[in-house]
Parts: sequence; structure tokens; C-alpha cells
Amino acid sequence: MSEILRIDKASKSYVNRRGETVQALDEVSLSLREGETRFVVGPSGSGKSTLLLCAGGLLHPDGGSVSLEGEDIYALPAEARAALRSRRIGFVFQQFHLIPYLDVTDNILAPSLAGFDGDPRPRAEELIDRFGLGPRRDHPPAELSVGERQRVALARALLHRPRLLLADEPTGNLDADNGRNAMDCLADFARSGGAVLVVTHDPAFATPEALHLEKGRLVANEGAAA
Amino acid sequence: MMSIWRLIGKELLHRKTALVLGLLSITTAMTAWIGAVSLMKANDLETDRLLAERERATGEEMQRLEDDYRKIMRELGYNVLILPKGQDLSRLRALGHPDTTMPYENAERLAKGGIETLNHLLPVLQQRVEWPEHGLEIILSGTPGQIPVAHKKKFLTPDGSAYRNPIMETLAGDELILGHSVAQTLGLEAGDETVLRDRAFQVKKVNPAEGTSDDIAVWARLDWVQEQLGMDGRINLILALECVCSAESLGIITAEVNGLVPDVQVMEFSSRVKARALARNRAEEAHREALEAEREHRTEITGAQQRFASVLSPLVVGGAVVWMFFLFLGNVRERRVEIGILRAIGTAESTLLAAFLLKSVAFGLLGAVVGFFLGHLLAAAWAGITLFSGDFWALLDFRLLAAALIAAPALCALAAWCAALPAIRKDPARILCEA
Repeated sequence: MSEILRIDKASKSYVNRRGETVQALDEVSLSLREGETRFVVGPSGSGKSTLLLCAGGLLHPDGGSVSLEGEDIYALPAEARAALRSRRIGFVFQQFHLIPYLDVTDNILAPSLAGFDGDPRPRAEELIDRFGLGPRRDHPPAELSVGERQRVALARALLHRPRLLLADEPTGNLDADNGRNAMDCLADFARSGGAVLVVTHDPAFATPEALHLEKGRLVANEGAAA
Repeated sequence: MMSIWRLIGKELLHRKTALVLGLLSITTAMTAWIGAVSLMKANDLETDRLLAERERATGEEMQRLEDDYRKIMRELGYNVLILPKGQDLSRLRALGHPDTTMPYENAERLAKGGIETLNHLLPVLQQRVEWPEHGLEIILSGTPGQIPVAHKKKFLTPDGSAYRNPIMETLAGDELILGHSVAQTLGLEAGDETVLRDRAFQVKKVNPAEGTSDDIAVWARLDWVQEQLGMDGRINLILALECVCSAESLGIITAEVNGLVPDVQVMEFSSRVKARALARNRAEEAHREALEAEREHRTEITGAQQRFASVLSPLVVGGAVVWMFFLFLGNVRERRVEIGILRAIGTAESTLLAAFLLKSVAFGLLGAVVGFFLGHLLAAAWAGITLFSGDFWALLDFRLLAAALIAAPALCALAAWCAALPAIRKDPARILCEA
């Protein structure tokens, strides 16, 4: 199983509104291999979202490195990093962040704005079928249920067949059934050879295998890189 | 594949109010600008039309005055006298006729030489003699009748041999024209028979009283008079009618006459005609001054409109650009999360910026086209130009459309660029964290 994501001693600090420096990440290290799903749990403000943004190439850590399949993503120029994100990383956000004026199909196709090898529509159709969104394909997000929106967000994240899926509180806005479905989808993705990093404060995921993040540090990091 | 145009189209349809406001804004700006420019052009067209109309009216009036002048001149009779160069003018006044002579050919030379300033040339030989049958002193005057000036065809009969409306009719060999005083003294009237120097004549006409030596003139055929006076081939004056309608014409006439016949002198003797000519010139001048005043007035109006437009147009256009900027800014703020998420999923900054710019350019193009036709229509309506008339089409300036098609998208793109760039450049992670 080859390594997909490697975070090595990533640190990130902010200056808050009161002018105080907050250490959001403090030398966090972890790695993810093909077929692996990792949960990072921790209370609000523990640095979970910061970790996810750093892992996704969106937030340059102050220190340490982040590699995707061996490539240091922050060594890439911004546009190349954007291209890498579009093709190899999928994001699923707690708020879904669907584009309000696009219907289901177009929302799923949105990542193809950055380019796509071939025609993305068959892939979008495949995802629509897989997530049971066929009857809703022409509906805008405002006309979808929360579970449907989550599935659209997942489908959008998978359009490019990414290697890494990053999910921020993927079940946070879902009822139990929809939450279970969402997690099944993530598991399916991992089984198909991808890697999934999920950050959540849901205690249900606070398993012994989960990575616990507190004040920017991993306090139980069994899967951490050496 | 999701295209940028699809994204723009869907977004425009989703935010219809912003679409309408944006279009309204740029259309208003373009309408104001095009309207102001078209209105000035309409004013120019109106000025040209008005001036052309006035010029035409002036031309007609001048033509009418010209005709009047010519008729009056003809009615008043000859007003130019051509005399032998050596003729003493005081003796001319004392005798009532010249006492020197010149060859008859002088008159022919003037007529055939293409003289421009004179018309109705009448060679005359005069001498004070006694009418022996009545013991009456007369000025015996011989004339062959008017010599046609060959190139002045409009005054001549179709065959060019005589004047259509001669000042003095040509006399037959047995005809006389009597001065008023002579006719009165002898009790003769037109149609009466009489004898002069043993030859029978019929009185053709009696001239009205002039109070001059013409009242004692007796007119007969030149060749007979030359024979009676023993002056074959001689004349002593040429009467003519001046053509040049200028108070300063004498110098011009003299120069032209002397160019053709050097040994003569020229006199003008009709102050009334000169006054008329002067009045005509004054009238023409007044017309021209009125025309010039109108032109200046219109220029002033155009200038005022241009000044107004030069202030109003930039204000409206500038206001529209600022308004567009705030519209785009509002749009960008509304789409902040969308921008963040699109950036996060890998959409390039340039693609997102292009989405905003292309939308603004589309606004600009549409605004330019609508504004062009609307501005044109308003300007035409304002200027009172009938729809689809010649002036209406003349008002259409497609260079303006071209300018609008460049300016409007450029201004919209500038507004969009200023509004969108900071948001697009903003760290998507920060946007998503804030969302």
C-alpha cells in the first residue's frame, strides 16, 4: 500500500483579534496510505480544520511539510497547487458549500472548470446514479434535502477520481441515517484505493484508532509517521 | 464540461435583480453619452439645414433683386456713356452732345470683344443742327439700333441678331423719334408724317420729357445722319447699360472698355441706379450678416451643448462606473464562499477572474448596443427629427457604436476587475474558515 498523504511536523499559528498568537497546529505528523480512512477528533478550536486545510494544500503551514504521493505540495506554485487540488484531492465540507445557482448536475461538474481529461458528463452521471440523485439532477441546492446536499458535495469531491478525500465534519449536519450513508460513501472511496481524512468532533468517531487533536497537538497518534 | 459561459449564464439568471440593475446602469450611461453626442450632431444637422434654407432664400431674394435691378436699369435707360478720348466734358455739357467723333468700329469691337460689364450698346452720332423745314434747332441723332453683345444670349432673340427687350427700338429708314420739346413745338405725335432735310419721315414715337438736351433730339437711322453730316463711318458716343451691380463699378467698366477700345473715356450718369445698386448690395450684405448671425447663434448653442455634454457625460459615465463597481462588489461579496469553494476545488484565479470580467464585458456590450440605439432615438426625438427620415439615418454614427462597444465593456471590466480581484486573491482557506 503506497503512501498517499504525509504530514511531517506541520505547524501553524494565527494571531487572533486580541493580538495573541494561537498555535493552531504544533508539529503534527501523520500519514495515510491507499485504502486508509483516518479520523481526527477533538474539541472545537483544537486545530482540526487547520489540519485539513493544510493537508488539502489550501493553508501553507508555518513549519513542516505536506506531501501528496511523495510530492511536496507547498513547494508548488499556487496555480500548480490549485491544479493538483482539482485533480487529486477531494473536499467535503460540513456546510456542503454548493453553488446556489447551479443544479445538481452542474454542481457535480463544477470542479471541471479547472479542467478535465475528456468529457466529465459520463463521470457526473455515474456519480449521480451512485448517490441516487437521478430524480434531483435538475434541482438547485435550495430544493434539496440536507442528505441530498451532502451526497451532491460528495459526488462533486469525487468527480476527478481524487487520491485523497478530505472531509470536515461530514456528518455534522446529517441525521443518523444520512450520516451513516455519508460514512459508507467515504468507506467505499477508501476501499476503491483512495485515502480519507475525516476531521470531526463527533464522539462516535473517537475510536482508539482515531487521532486526537488538542490545542494543535496530536495526543494519541498511533498512525503518526515515524 | 462545466464551461465558464454556463457558469456566467446560470449566475445571471439566478441574480436577475443584479442583472437588471447592472444593465440599467451601463445602458443609462451609454444612452446619456450617445444621446449627448447625437444631440450635438442633430443640432449640427439642423444648423446645416437651416443655413442651407436661409442661403437658398437669400439666393432667391438676391436673384429677385437682380431681376428688379435689371428691369429698373432698363426702364431708366442707358446709364453709361462712352465718348472719344479727347472729348471736352464741359463742351459736352454746353452743347448737349459731343463735338468729337470716333470710328463706328469702336462699338462693334466692344460688342464682339465679349464685354462683360456693359450691355445694350447703342452707337450714336449727334450734332446740333437746324431743322430747315421748321427753322428749329435740334440735336440730330443717328443710331443703327442696339448692337447685340454676342455672348449675352439670354438677352437676345433666338437668332442672336437683336435684343428681346431693347431700350431703344431700331428705326426703319423713314422713321423718326422726336424729343418731347421738338414734338410739342411742331405739334407732332406718333404716326404723323413730316419732312426733314427734304426727306419724308413718319414719327414712330415721341420721347417723354426729360428736362435735358434729349428733349430737343431727333433720332433717325445712323447711315442717313452720317450722310447728312458728312461723317461717314463716324459716331461720337456709345450709350450702354451697366451690368455690374456695384457702386464702385466705373473703374471696372473703364478698365474693361479701354482693354478693348483704348481711345475712349467712360462716364456713368445715373445716380439713381447707383443708389439702387448700393441698396441691393446693402440688402445682400444684410442677408449675409443675418446668415452669419444665425451661424454664430447656432455655434453658440452647439458650444453650450458641448460644454454641458462635456460635464454631464463624464459625470453620468463616471457615476455608472462607480455604480457598476458597487454592484460587482455586492456580487463578489455575495459569492465570497462560492469563490472560496471554487478556489478550493482547484479553479484557477485567472478562470474566476475571467468569469467576472466576461460577465462585465457582456454587460458592457449589451449596454453599448442598447444605449446606442436608445441614445440615438432620444436625441432624434429631442431634436424633432422624424423617425426613419433621412436626417434620422444621417444622425446614426456607427463610429459612435464602435466607440461604445469598446468603452462600455472596458469600463465594466475595470469596475469588475477592481471589485473581484481582491476577493479572488483572498486566501480560500480563510474564506472557508470564515464561512
